[in-house]
Amino acid sequence: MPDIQLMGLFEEPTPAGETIERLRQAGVEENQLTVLSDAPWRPQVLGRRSMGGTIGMMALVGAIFGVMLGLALTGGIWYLYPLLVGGQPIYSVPPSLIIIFEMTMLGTMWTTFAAFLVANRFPVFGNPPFSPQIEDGMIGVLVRTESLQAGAIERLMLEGGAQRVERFEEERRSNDRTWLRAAAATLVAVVGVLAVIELFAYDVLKIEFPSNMVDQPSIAYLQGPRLAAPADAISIDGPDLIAGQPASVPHPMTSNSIQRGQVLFSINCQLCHGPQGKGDGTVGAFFTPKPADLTSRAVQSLSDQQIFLVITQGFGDMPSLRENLYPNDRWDVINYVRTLGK
Amino acid sequence: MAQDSMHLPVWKQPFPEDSELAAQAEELRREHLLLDARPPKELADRVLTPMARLGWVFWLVFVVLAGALLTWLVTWTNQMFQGLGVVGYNRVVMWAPYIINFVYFIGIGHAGTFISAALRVLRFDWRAPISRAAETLTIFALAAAGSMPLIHLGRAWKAYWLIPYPNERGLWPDLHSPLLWDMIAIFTYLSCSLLFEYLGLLPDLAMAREYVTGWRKRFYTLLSLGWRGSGKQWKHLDTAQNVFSYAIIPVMFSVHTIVSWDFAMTLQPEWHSSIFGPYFVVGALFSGVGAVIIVLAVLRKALHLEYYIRAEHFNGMGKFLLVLSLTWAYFYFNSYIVPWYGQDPASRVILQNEATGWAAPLWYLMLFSNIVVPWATLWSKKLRTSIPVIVGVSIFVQIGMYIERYLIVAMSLGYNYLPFNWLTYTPQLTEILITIGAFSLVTLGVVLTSRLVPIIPVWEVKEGQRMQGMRRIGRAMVQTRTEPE
Repeated sequence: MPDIQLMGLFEEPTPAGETIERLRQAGVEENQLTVLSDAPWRPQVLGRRSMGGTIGMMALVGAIFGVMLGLALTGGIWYLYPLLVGGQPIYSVPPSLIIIFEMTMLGTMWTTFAAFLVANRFPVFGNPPFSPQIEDGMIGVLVRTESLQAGAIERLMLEGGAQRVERFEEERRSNDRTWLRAAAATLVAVVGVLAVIELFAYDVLKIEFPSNMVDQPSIAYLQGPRLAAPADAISIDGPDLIAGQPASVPHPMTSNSIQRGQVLFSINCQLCHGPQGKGDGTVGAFFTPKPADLTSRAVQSLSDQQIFLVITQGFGDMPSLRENLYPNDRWDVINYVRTLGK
Repeated sequence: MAQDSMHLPVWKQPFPEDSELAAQAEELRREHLLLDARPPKELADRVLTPMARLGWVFWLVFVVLAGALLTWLVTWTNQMFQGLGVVGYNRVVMWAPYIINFVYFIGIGHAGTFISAALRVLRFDWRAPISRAAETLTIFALAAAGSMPLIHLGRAWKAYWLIPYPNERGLWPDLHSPLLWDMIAIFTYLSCSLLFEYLGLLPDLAMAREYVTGWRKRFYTLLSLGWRGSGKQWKHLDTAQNVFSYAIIPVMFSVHTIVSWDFAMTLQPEWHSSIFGPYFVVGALFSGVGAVIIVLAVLRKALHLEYYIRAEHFNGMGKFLLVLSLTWAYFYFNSYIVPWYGQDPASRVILQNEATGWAAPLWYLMLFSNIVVPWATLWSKKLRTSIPVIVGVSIFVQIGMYIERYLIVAMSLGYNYLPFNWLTYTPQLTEILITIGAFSLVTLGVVLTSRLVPIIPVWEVKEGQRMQGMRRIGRAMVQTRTEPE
């Protein structure tokens, strides 16, 4: 059972490497040995077996995780929020490849960094053996051993060319248990923060804060009574038709109104309904069924409001003329249509 | 005797006895940092001592930059309250100052990865002392670039809507949009560059921890995470840095390619071009390497790093700058000749505007800065190794590349396929102040970082010095290069 640590300080890799070889011949196992230096020496330089590591493997795992995350981000859209964009497909491969590529690289590098921290148990807790002289270029060969063998090993190091040998108690080591607790706490904290963000995102938790949107007189979509316009407000288009509410105010039947209606009729209606409104317009001749005869009893018995609706919304094959005629103009057209029936 | 000198640390190894050879060896050491080995304590001192010396020049620079940064914040706040109307946008040129800065700073951000990852993969040993300054520049340039779309956004506090996560809005960013690709690519590049720089910083933080006292010691102890340089730690660091180097190079390429797609995916004349990806990448490296040269020269002067940053580094960087200038010219000609030959009416107007119209002074200045200046100077080793000359060339390259982005974004955008709708953009005070602020942000970031952490990767210099050496061949001393694996 190792209970003491010895660190021989060497000026140069050659004596350090030779001493390590001699220590190994004296029965020191590879896992009892640590070499400390201020710059990297390849393991072969110090006669050590090359150390395997899991970081490369973890990078691969991170890459696979990244691919999956990328697929979730791109395919997840298709599943969660089918959003139609300008006739493009909801799921399209080429843009997805870009996002999957970036997520793969993100996964690879973040995982590599995390694996680096885990492999080294960073940040180190406790107080493992170290000598400031290592930063002065010394190579420290650290051996964990039993106190019975300490004298022999110290002698071996000094013979091998160590400048001096320092002794450390076995307690001087990194505290992996605290590290594990800290790592677990960090993980919990990260997951917790993400969870809290989601709680905010879904409005489970809510902080009211001023934003321009809220300052404006508006109401959440499809909710609440519509805001009444001020009493004296008039739409620039004149009042429009709102379903379930009375249509806008008809114009009185004046000669002025009829004259305006005639002009508008000749522009917007005559091609189909004909100059006298008999349903015999130039274009209307090609239609089946024929456009309505506006002089007929069926049309003339309609109320003004019903005719207004037909002009606004269209009827059968007749298109809506909402965009061609302002509401005011429609009443003029209706007044003119009334004169056709007489 | 020979046997004994083998066992001396590299900084104690004697010169050859022959005076002629000793003179040659002296010359080699003067020229090459990696042959000029010094004791580790001296190496550390040469970085750590000047860092802590904050003279009046530092405070003057600090106050000026911090003031510019404050102006930036105030201007931005004003813009948020007033709306984007205070910027010189019009209904056609709706992408001008901020997007120009965005492309420019993303471009600057390419040099760090190029120098530290690509040159590491290619085993260019001389890169050792310059990689961290380049990485620092990358990080702050990316931060400045990342702020630009936020400023351009108007309602900056809605920026998180771009992040894809399940949310109450029932909305998800549209993955067909290059702007979303941009966001993801820049996030990947920025976060991984930061981790990459931190990895390489660990051993130097541990070194600094051993040499300083007071709050700096506590700061470095905390940041160095308990690094003590065990064989396993070095091994893990090497593996991790290798993974990062190989992974971050394609990310670097993707970032600026995607930035180019912000333009190329539209049907705007002069933008809709398949060569835009590589053309932008080369332009980014070109301006980035130029910016690193400027930063190195300034740091060398400010922190007295003459020992670490030598003529050989400016020589090497100058060669890159020349190669990149040639490559940039090649790509620029490619993206010029095809629309010129096509004679598409809108493209023709843009090209005529560059050659003889109001944009002509800018266009000729760009060609002069990006092509004539580098080609006229950088072929000569004497000029490359003269620091004032190469810094001057690099400043020309910055001007040229900024104009290039100005012409691509602000000028081309004014001439679309609807001639009644042609407008030009005039910069206003708001974006000028914000642009100055962005430059200050990058400069201040590099200045403060160079004072807070060792800006020279001392451990890489040590490794290089221990691996590289010189050898006598006949009557000459020559540099030898060791491949440790």
